[in-house]
Amino acid sequence: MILLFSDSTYITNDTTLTDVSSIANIVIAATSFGLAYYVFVYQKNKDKRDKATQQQKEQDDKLEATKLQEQNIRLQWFKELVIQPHLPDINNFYNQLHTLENQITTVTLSDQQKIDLTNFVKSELSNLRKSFVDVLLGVNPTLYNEIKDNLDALIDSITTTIIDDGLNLTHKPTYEREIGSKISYSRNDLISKVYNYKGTF
Amino acid sequence: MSNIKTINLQDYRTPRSRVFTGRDRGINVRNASKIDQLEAESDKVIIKIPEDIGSINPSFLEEFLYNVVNKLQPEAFFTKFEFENNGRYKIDNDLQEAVERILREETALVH
Repeated sequence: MILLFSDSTYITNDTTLTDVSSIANIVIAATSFGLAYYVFVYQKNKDKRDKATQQQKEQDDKLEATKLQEQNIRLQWFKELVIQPHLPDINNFYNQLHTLENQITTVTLSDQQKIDLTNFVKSELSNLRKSFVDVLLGVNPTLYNEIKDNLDALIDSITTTIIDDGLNLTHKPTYEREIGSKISYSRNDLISKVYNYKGTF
Repeated sequence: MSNIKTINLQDYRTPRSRVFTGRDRGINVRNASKIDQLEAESDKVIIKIPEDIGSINPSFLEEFLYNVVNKLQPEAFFTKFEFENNGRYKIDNDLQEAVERILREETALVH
C-alpha cells in the first residue's frame, strides 16, 4: 500500500488519516497489552524466583544455625572433656621440661648424663601423649597432628641440643636460647592451637 | 638356615650427628634402607645401631617402622626384628613408644 500525503488531510488509495489513527491505536494497544503481559509474566517469574531464593536462604540459614549449634556443643564437650581435665598434664609436662635447667649441673655432660637427660624428656612426652595427645586423635585428627608435630619438634630439638651440640648449657643465656625459649614457644603454640580450635572436623 | 637381612643405621646417619630424629628423616631412611622390602624377603631383620648413638627418637622410629609394624603387628614384629644395640643408648623405651604410636594411629584411622 502506498500512502501519498497532500495538503489536504486525505491520503490516496481510499485510506483516511482516521484509518491510520485507528490502526496506530490498535498497534499501540496491542503493544501495550503485549508489554503488560510481558511485565506480568516477568514479575510472576521474578516473584517465583525471589520466593525460591528466599526459601533457599532460609533453609541455608537454618542449616547454618544447626551446624553452629552442633559446633558449639562439640566445642563445649572439647573444653569440658579434653582440655580442662588435662590442663594439669599439659602444665606438668612443660614444668618438668623447665626442670632441665637445674638438672644440667656440669659444663661438660658425660655421654651417660646426656642419655639420661634425653630419656627424661622423652619419657615426659610419652606421658603427655598417653594422657592428652592421644585423646585428640578421636576429636580432630588435624589438631592431633599439629599438636604432635609441635611436641615432637620440641623434644627432637632438645635431644639434638643436649647430645650433638656440645654447648655449655649451664650458661644461663645459652640454656635459655637453646632450650628454655623453645619450651616456652612450644607451650604458647600449643595453647594457641587449642584456643583457636573451633569445634569443626 | 633362615634368611637374615641386616640394616646398619651407620649407613644412614647424618655426618657428625649422634641422633636420629624427625619424621621426615624416618621416611627417608625407610625408603633408603628398603626396610619394607627386606622384611618381606627375609625371616629375620637385624637393625644395627652404631655404638656412639645417643638417641633414636620416637618421631624417627614411628615413620621408619610404620609399614612393618602395621603389617606384622607387635608380637610378630618383635620376633622378626632384632636391634643390635651395644652402646650406652638403649632403644627399648623409644621403640616401645614408637610402636604404641603407630598402632594407636592405625586403630583410630580404621574406626
